[in-house]
Amino acid sequence: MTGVPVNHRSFEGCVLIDLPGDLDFASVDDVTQTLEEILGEASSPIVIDLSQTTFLDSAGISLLYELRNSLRMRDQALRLVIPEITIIRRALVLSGAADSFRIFGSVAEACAGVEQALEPPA
Amino acid sequence: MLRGEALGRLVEAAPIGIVTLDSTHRILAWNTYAAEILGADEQEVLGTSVFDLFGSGQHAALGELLARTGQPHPGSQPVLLCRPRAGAEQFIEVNSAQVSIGPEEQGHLVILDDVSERVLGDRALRRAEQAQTFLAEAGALLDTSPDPVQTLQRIASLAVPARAELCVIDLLSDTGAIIGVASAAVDPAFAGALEKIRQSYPLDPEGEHPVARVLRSGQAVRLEQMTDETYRRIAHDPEHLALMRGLRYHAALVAPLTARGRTFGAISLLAIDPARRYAAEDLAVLLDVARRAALALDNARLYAREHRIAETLQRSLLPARLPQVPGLRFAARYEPGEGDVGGDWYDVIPLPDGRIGCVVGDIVGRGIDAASVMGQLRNAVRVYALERSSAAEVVKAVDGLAESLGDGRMATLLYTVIDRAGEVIEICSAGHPPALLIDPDGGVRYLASGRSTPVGIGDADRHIGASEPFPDGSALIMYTDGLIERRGETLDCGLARLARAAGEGPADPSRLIAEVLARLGSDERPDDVAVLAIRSVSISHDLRLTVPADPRRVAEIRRSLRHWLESRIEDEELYDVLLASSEACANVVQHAYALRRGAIEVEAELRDGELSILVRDRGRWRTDHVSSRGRGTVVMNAAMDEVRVSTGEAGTEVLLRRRLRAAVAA
Repeated sequence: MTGVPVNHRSFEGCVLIDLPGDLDFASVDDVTQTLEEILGEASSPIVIDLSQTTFLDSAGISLLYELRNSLRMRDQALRLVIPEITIIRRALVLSGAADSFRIFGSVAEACAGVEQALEPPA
Repeated sequence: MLRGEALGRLVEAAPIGIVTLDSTHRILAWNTYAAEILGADEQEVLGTSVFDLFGSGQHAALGELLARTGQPHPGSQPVLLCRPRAGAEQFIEVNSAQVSIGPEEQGHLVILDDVSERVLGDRALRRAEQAQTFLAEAGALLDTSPDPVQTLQRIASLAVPARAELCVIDLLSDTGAIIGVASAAVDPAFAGALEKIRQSYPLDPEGEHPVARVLRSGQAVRLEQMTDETYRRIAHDPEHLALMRGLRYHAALVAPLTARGRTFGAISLLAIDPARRYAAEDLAVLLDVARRAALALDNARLYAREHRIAETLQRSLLPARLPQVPGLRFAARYEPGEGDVGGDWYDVIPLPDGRIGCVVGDIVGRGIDAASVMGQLRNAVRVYALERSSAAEVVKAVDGLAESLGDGRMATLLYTVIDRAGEVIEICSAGHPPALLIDPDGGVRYLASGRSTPVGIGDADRHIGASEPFPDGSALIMYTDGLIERRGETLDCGLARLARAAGEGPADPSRLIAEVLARLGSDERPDDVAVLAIRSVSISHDLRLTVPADPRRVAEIRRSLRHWLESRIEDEELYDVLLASSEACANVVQHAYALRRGAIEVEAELRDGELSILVRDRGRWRTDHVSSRGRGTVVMNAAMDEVRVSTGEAGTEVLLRRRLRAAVAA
């Protein structure tokens, strides 16, 4: 059984990361480590594309919270791409996490949202 | 040999025009017949140049003939010259020979013959033939084509090159704009040039362009000789003028597309070849084609509107959603055919005794009438299904009603009553294609029993019912004949293809229908199709799994659960159950894994619409290894009706319960 590949690239001024596979308690440690390596030097807004992600459990959701919090410390935006009517969206709704994230239906919308949401540092 | 006067008399009387010319081509004398052919008095023409008798366009040919006959070996090949004559053209065959007209002077003897009748006759015949071909071909297209706009394109292609170098068909849009919908040209450059003109200068509906004028007046226009003046009147600006001059058309015919008193388009034929002329009869031919095309287009427009109304009516009469029944899953589809909407319908009716009535029917006939009769029969089936207990009694009652409607409409109808508890179905078919039964092991057979003839033809008592076993895991497909009919194929072929597709299809009824429609579909489905699929699912069913206590194996448990559940519940419930079960497994596995324990067990059961899932490890519980799984607990509680986590000497155990929505609704 292989872990979840963490693919990243620059797109429309953002770092776009997709996580194809099951983001669950079995894979979350590896994914966290890879994400830290990718995000260590990045200063652009981060878009996590979960449209290819096949499962998300509470451990995966915790990872998203941690990521959001650490980016917030650096004044960096986090956007999630989750198509509607997927088990991923349902997981966020059931866990009560849906309101804690900026969620977009597509990568294009997420990147555009990031652009609009860029606010001057307080 | 004849000499002197005798010769003079003979020349004078010859049934052929004879003219003598001097060396500078001036007319010296001519005979009566020449005067008649050329329609001029001898006094007027004597001393004038023979060239003056013809237009400048003919001078080159005449000059060549005279030069040729000046050679020592004169050719005998006559030339055909053309000159205008009241209302038509005159064709004169001209030959010449060199003659001595004086001691030192060589002149010409010119022989004229009026061959107009022959030339015009040939030409008229050829035109008539072409016109007939054009009319016949265009007529055939209009009679057979289901897509009139495509037909216009083909008519444009037929007109070229027989009747024009360039043919354009314009339609008036709903907003009043003039839109070119079809064009054809002998040379792609012409079509390109026209396209460019139309793109840069859309026709002004109020403007002077012949097409705009025809659209306003409904009257055809024949432009025999387009001049630069004509171009200038039409052109919007110098660039437009330049583009039109570049196209160089010198004559045009524009006929209106008029039907039911409404002019909504125009066909234009443009002549670019200098030799092409448009006569009144050419316009008559174009008008004939335009009239037929307009009628076909207008019929298509009315038909499309009626089709939309009928389809809306049809859909409004079909059930918005099918009932939720424990132990049964339903799916249905209605697909309109490419033709007029039919009277196909389906319905699912929960009966007071807990059985379920299912019906698929097909009204003979099409259009709005068929759809409204369908509505009446559908309601009749609903009412009688609740009143009468046996399938045959319901069909008999519907038949009685169909007959009393008295409009001679027939319908085929298949009514089945599913007794989930007794695992049996009752069938009554009134001339309808047989239902297909899929066994739990995937075997398929058509149910041919309980069959009689369509309703609406009298003698309602002949309908009979039959019973068939319908064990857990079986599926039934009911459909209208549009599903199995394909042009050029027998019904048996269609039935065989349906059996194969259904036997190999997925368990989930809506996926099964999608698969069957995809496999039996063709590009040209003439008739509409109604399909209803019913699958009986076990009311009590167990799933047992034992997997090594390894976090990476939890995905396997999710897959097994998904596979077990997906044909039984809807996607959103499935998501909830999978998310909760996964949290339960994580809870148990993490503890067991940390302790290097062997395995975890999952037991799931579905009884009377209630799902329960038990996850536990086999081993001892250690209280010093409790990690917080707060978020997982939130998910489980949100997803399930009941969550119980118990810990003890034997290990961890999580019990999840949820009443399924289908069962709640029932």
